[in-house]
Amino acid sequence: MSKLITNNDIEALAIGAAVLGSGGGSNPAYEKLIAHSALEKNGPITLLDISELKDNDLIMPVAFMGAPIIAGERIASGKETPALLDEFIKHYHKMPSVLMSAEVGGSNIFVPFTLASLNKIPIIDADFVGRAFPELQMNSACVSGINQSVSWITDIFGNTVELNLSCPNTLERYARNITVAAGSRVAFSMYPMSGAQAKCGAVVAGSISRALLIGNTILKARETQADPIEQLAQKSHGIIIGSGVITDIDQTIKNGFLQGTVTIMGPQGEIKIFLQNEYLIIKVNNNIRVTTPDIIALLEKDTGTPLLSSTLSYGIRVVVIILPAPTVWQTQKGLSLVGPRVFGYNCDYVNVTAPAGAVTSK
Amino acid sequence: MKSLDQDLNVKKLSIGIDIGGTNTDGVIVDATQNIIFTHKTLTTKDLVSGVSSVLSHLCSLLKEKIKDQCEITGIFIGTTQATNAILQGTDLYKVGLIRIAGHNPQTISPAYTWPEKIREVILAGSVNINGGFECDGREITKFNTSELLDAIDTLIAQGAQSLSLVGVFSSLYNTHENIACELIKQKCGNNFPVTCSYKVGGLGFIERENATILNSALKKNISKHFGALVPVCEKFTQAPVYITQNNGTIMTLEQACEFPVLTIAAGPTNSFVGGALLGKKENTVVVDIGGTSTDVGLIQNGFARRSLYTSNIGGIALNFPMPDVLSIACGGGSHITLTPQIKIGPNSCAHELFIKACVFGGDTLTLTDCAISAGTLDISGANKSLIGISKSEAQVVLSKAQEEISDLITRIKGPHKDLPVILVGGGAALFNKNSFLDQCEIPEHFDVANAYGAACARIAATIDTVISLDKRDETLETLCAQASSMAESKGAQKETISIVQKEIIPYFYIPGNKARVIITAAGKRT
Repeated sequence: MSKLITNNDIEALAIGAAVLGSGGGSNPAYEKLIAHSALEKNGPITLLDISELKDNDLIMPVAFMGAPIIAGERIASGKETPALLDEFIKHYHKMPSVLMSAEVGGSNIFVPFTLASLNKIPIIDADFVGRAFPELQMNSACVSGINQSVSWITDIFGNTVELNLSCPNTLERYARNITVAAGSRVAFSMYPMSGAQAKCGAVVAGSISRALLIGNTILKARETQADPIEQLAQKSHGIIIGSGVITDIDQTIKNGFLQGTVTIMGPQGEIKIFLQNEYLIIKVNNNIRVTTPDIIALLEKDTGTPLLSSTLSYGIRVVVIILPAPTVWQTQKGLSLVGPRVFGYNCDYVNVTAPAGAVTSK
Repeated sequence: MKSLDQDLNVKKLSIGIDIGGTNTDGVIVDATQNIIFTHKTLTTKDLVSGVSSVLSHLCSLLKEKIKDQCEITGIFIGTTQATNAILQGTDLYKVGLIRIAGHNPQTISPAYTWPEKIREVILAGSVNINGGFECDGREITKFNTSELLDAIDTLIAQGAQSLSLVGVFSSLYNTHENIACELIKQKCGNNFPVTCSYKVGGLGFIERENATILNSALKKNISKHFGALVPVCEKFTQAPVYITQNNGTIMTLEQACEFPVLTIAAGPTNSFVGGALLGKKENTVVVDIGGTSTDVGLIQNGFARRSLYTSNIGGIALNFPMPDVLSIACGGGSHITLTPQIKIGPNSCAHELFIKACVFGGDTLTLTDCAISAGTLDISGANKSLIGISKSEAQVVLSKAQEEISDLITRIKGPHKDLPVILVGGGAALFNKNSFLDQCEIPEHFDVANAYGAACARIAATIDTVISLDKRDETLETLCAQASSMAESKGAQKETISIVQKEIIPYFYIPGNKARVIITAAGKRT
């Protein structure tokens, strides 16, 4: 059940994480290098399936939050996540049994890797989101209703802040302000939980292996000159919405997020994608076809390279593909946190993907 | 070529030279940028004999055919020497890297992604010292002079012959790099080779660090080769020698020796600028079809559009100003495979085309063979009967090549769908200009577009900085005025100076409504 993650998996994980980022989640380029470097020095890491968790196992989730542009200039010092681990140990008087990436979509997939490799702690095949979302309260633990007790934020020097807050929205607000004060990028750990809680739906199970499957499918298709996107659709319950050339990009900055539309013209007519960091809504010929929380990916037609909302340019030939949202987001409570209305769109979730329950990678 | 004996206006002349991987091309142009003579020869290993041969040929033509008194105002050279030096690892300094980063990042070591061979040749060692800035301008930690002086000793003891300084957010706040550079000069002498990262690249620590290390390493090779060019040129003329850089403008030899990494993409830039001038267009797509590859670029207001994304030389990621180039491995020498499906390239016969291609008795089917079979190209000495495929098959291959090139044209055009398209480069002759989807033009002298681009390169000054958009118009106006006066002081004619590039790229996460602004002012040479 458990498997080893080696440096041979890193490229596939990076591609998979970018696809699951639904256009956001920030470019994994630097975090990928950091993970690669750590595994090269300290060896591979163990990936545990959720079924392998014992009820009294302690899970420590980690991720970075803040501006992606900072990650590319003020590169992580390497003191951030060890400082989180120190706080965790001080609080619980023991090591965590497993580590978890708080968000699989984008660069955060790699954040637990360095700690895991160095301290020989396994990572769990799960996360809080199953994709990327912009705010802390948009997480599966929040949907499941488990208690958020303590969380920590650390900066590049390993300075730490402990937050004893139970309300996830307050946590988001406080954490965001601390992040800006700390140079717009910090590491954090929230919702530490038990194995029993994780098994009762507080996490999105199978996230890492889903990313790995997506990445490997695309890499293998490239190698064998098969169509990467057809292969991806087949292997990951994907639905191809259409293809074409990017003919218009209209982006502005509103409320700190990249907002706008991208237009793709192709044989099926006009596809318009509405985005706020992440791709959130698809209209085909002016009819709403897909909405958040389903995962929307724009892939470069020939190579299957995922295109982030911040790196779009005119004239690229793309295919638009949908991967089903984790089931937690398709519930009423899930939709109240990440549905279209939360992002200001006056429409309801359109479930175009497989029926609920089809999303497993086990 | 026009009848030269009657042309009495020829007085001030410029010589453009392009030193490519295969050919060294030269042109002489007059003050109104008309081509007077051209010459093509094979590139030599030492560079200078190829250049010498071109110069001697051009100058004797000048003596023979032009009766007026003429003055050569400058020799303008474009070269891929920097790229080749990196790939071959020849004549490079050992570099010591000083990271100015108070948080002492241990997560990505210097040159981590480089091909091992290049890293071993170039990097002597690295030291991290206190300093650097946050995005909002606060110091990460205080800069410490004695720490820097120790770092210099350590690195020189490790074999460093040249130093690189890379500070966090130095493209926004360069104080610490400047102080450190000053201290190095005081300690090691004014001629000790140092590179500050903010002078060679923008945001993106690792990519900027890569560019800075390469620049420090290249200072040796470039000084040596460019230095050797001077006496060769002086045999023919006293005119100054200039080197063209990535953005299609010129640097003095001294500047090129200081920032050799900025010449790394001059090749494609020169062909785009030259192609646009040959076709007499200020805004156009230029397609440079060579022997091995085809480069497609976009000219806006006479300048090659600059890429905003990470570029790559020899497997090393860089982020300094480079032209936006789309390339495919499709050129005159490209190998053609017919089964299981038609494939063009990526391998090419390159300079051995005239030995290896079918029409010349070789056994490699090339795109040139297909063009000859299809009837679009005719080369003397080519034997059509040696091509093993039918005319219709050849036409299918050519259409595939056209389709691939047309795709690049569409991509580079983006929303500017009405832009004209100019084909240049030796490989342009393979195609019928009417067979592309877009209306194409193949101008006269298409095969020396690179050298022509070098001869016509302008003088420019670029400001690349980060501003707050709160007082947007006022700030931009000030920056434009600054760029213009910088261009003038570099020798551009005042009345020809215009702002040729104004890009505003908002940083959507950074507080304070900040944006990166890139402004270039340029003008004709006086």
